[in-house]
Amino acid sequence: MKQLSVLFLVMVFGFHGFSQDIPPVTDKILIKNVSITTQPGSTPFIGHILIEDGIIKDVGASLQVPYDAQVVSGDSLHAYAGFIAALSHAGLKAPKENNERPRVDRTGYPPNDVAGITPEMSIDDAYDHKDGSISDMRKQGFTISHSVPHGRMLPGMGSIIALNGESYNESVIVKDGSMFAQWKTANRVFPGTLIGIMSKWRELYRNAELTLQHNKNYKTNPRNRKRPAQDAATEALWPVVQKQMPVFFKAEKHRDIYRTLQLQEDLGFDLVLSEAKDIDRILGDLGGRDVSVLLSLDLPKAEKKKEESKDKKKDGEEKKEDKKEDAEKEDPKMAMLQKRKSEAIDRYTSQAKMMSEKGMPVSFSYLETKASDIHTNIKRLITDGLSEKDALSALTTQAAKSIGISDIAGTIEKGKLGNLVIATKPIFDEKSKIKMVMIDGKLHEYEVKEKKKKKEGDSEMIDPSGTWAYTIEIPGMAASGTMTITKNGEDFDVKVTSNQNPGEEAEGKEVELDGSDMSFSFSMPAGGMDITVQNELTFDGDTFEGTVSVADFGSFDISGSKSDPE
Amino acid sequence: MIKNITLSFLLLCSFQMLKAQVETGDILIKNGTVITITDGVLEDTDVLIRDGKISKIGKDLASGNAKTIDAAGQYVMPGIIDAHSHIALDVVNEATDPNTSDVFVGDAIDPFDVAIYRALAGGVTTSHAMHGSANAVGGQCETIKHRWGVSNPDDMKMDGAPRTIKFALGENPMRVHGEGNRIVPRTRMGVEQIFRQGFAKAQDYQAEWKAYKANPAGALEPPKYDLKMETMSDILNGDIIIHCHSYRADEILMLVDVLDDFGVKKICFQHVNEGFKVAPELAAYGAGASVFADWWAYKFEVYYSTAYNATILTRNGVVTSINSDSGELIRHLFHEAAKTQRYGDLTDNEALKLITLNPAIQLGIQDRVGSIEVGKEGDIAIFDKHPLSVYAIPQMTIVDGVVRFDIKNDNDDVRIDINPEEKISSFIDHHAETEADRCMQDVYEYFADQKQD
Repeated sequence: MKQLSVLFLVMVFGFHGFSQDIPPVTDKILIKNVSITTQPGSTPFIGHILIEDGIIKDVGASLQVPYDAQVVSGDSLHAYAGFIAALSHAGLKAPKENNERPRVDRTGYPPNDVAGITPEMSIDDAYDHKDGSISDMRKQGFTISHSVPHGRMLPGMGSIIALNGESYNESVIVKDGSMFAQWKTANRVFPGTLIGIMSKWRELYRNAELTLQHNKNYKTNPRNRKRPAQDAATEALWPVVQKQMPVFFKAEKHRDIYRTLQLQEDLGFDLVLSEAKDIDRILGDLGGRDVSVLLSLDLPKAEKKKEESKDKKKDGEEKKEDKKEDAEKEDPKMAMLQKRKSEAIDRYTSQAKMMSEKGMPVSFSYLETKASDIHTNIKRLITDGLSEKDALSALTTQAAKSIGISDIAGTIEKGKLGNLVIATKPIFDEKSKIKMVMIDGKLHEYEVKEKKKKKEGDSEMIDPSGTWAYTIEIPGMAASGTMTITKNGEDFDVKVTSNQNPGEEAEGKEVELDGSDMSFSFSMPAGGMDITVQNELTFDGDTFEGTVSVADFGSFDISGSKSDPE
Repeated sequence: MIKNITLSFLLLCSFQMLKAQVETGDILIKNGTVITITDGVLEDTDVLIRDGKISKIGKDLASGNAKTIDAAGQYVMPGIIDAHSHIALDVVNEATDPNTSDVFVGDAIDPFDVAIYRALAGGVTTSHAMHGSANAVGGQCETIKHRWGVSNPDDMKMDGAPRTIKFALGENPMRVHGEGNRIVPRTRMGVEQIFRQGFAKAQDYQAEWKAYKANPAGALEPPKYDLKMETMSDILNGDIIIHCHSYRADEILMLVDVLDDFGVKKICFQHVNEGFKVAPELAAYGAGASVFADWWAYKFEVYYSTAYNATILTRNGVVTSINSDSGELIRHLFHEAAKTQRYGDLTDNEALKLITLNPAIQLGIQDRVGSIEVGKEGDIAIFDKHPLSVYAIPQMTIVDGVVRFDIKNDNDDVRIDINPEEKISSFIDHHAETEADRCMQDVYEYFADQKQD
């Protein structure tokens, strides 16, 4: 077990070293014969994209190819401009939640860092270019992120970062270009409530205006004037009060949104409403004005489809929970409540469509969404009425616009950054998989596994019992071992061992089998804490394929075969 | 670089739309028994509301294009006003300091709180959404109208109503700050000092700003902008009405003394269970009293109480009201008012004044609501029996001429905002709980981690 964890640490922290230190042979890449969508709404055409020195050099159906360009075949693939996250925490680890009340002299006057007021903070120190959130976002096609720090009411400033996995200095596109704010109170010290945050904003802002004026006066003529006192937090707000720096204000539910608009109205800063979940009630008041809103992609859980539970009934696979749910549905009162809940879910997934209908540009923020849910959730928005054109613009041109980088990113255009997403099918196709992501001319490739077509009505459960040899593909190295699956009544037990460390075993938890898909997790100690390794496997006869993922670190491909075939 | 965007396509508007036009309506209420409060009871009389305001009171009024409601055999009274409640609020207490005059519960209005609908179902059209009593000087409060159905929190506010603030005496601030945080106030004496320090500092603050402004621009370093001191100054200037949580007579007189020393006149005592002991003094100072009909003994300082409190205060010339402080009591304030007839023999009109005109006076809105008079706002409650009868059931509640509650159209599930993540069964569980005394809401967690050191 110890060695297993060491192995994991290596693969988790060390793999960048293996995969990315090899210098590229050439800085010219030609993507050949690929279906190109240069920008949202444009008709795709088959052509070539030449990237030189990290910049798109040429795009067209036929173009001059330098002799020394690396040629990448784009046959039957689809290229789009690299996606842009207009707001995320990519590269920044969430701090551990501490629920202890801080010890301060006066709970009404805690120091700024305890109160969560650190607008002077840049993300440069906290940015961890090896953080799994970066590779996770990249895997979903994201090439640039406007990353903001974690924290409380005023965590600090955001920077625009290329998701190339390089250090902050090598990734940064715009440093400290925005102020991030949210409705997160301090822990039982002031501001301990939303009304405290309102009051604190008003006071900070007014003082920033006053000190700014006094500093200007002092600079012009210091003689005979009291020297202005220094205050990092107030001074950090100077660009905000001068409207040189927009505030990206995370406000999810409708009352938080109103509170944010109230502050904006009182104080007058430039505002980007961010992570909005529930904006339709405000749209009427906005009356088609040109307001920038970043919608949250954190959608309420989709409800189970009725057909599914019916199928399960037929198969006699009905679980207790389903029974309870069905009982609730039969009670007319419960059915009425359930109907209203379904309507509420639909309302949330229709937000993007409603914005579009009002003529408001749609883009997203990714503060609350798991990277792996992004495409699923965008497809839900499309199902509920968002046009594919607007969906693509939300990921590219509109996102670029909302963080002020339209000049250099958002479309496949000569002179823009060599940022591309290349997928196996049109990007919003149900079966589309991302095969390549290019950032600054550097190609990141992903293995695409075609899921075996399920036959009609193929919900038959397979029995994966047996001993399986597995290999985890970590760039530059391999981890392997065995997995023993035994049937235990209705359920399965899973035991995992590592070839690198014979004799130690980890036990699978939450083992679930659905048709030929099995998922389970196991935990192991690593670096003083337990990390949970999530496994998603798909069995096909005597082999399986799938992914293993570790929160905050990223995911890796796993494959295996039966070592004791019958 | 990011700043360019805001110039190019962002907020070119300044969100003036936040103050949306409040919906008003036209209604003719026909043939009711109209309890005007200020002009007796008018039998078989019509009340016409136009554009949200009472435009005519009389017989056989023409409806024009107004919606007509037949109130024959029914009782038409002004919408009930609750001078002390905590409904429709996301936040009640910012309990982090003995003086939080900088915060404002108007920033935390929740127009989707089902308690608003329940209050309407009890004929209540206006309530005073208050900060809690955790601090000696609490936050500023908001007078709201129960416009159930709006989604903009601003549309709940009674635009133009005077500013008010919550003060609190006695055990609550002593427990939160003295016991909880080991700072002043630990005793009733300490509570007094919070007020005196607050006002004295505000005087200094005013002087500082006066000096700064008297000098040419840029000559002096600007004083620090302090929202607490701004609010305390506004109280000194007479711009804010104090509503003070209080029980004991000695403390009540203490606050009267403090206010007298600083020249502050606008004060209404809340709860004021021992008000009957100092009724002449309250009347002499012009202080109001907003009391419970018969609720006491829920903590040590609230034992010396009587159901005759409202009557004694009224008979001594104190402007008195009866309040709820509760999402449950607010549904039957008319019962609470009726108790003063059992305990004290108040007349019908005196009893009803306790929940209409008098709370309006205490909130400074008596020119707009609290009675049925031409020119006042069209806030009406209609009952099937006399509202002081124990059998009375509210039939319809009208705010600004808009029907906001109608017993004939009273759905089981009136929620407006539904959490798509919540289990449906939790709705029933959650709302089965009754809430009482929300004055100390959000505060109990402050006692959870006290360390004896």
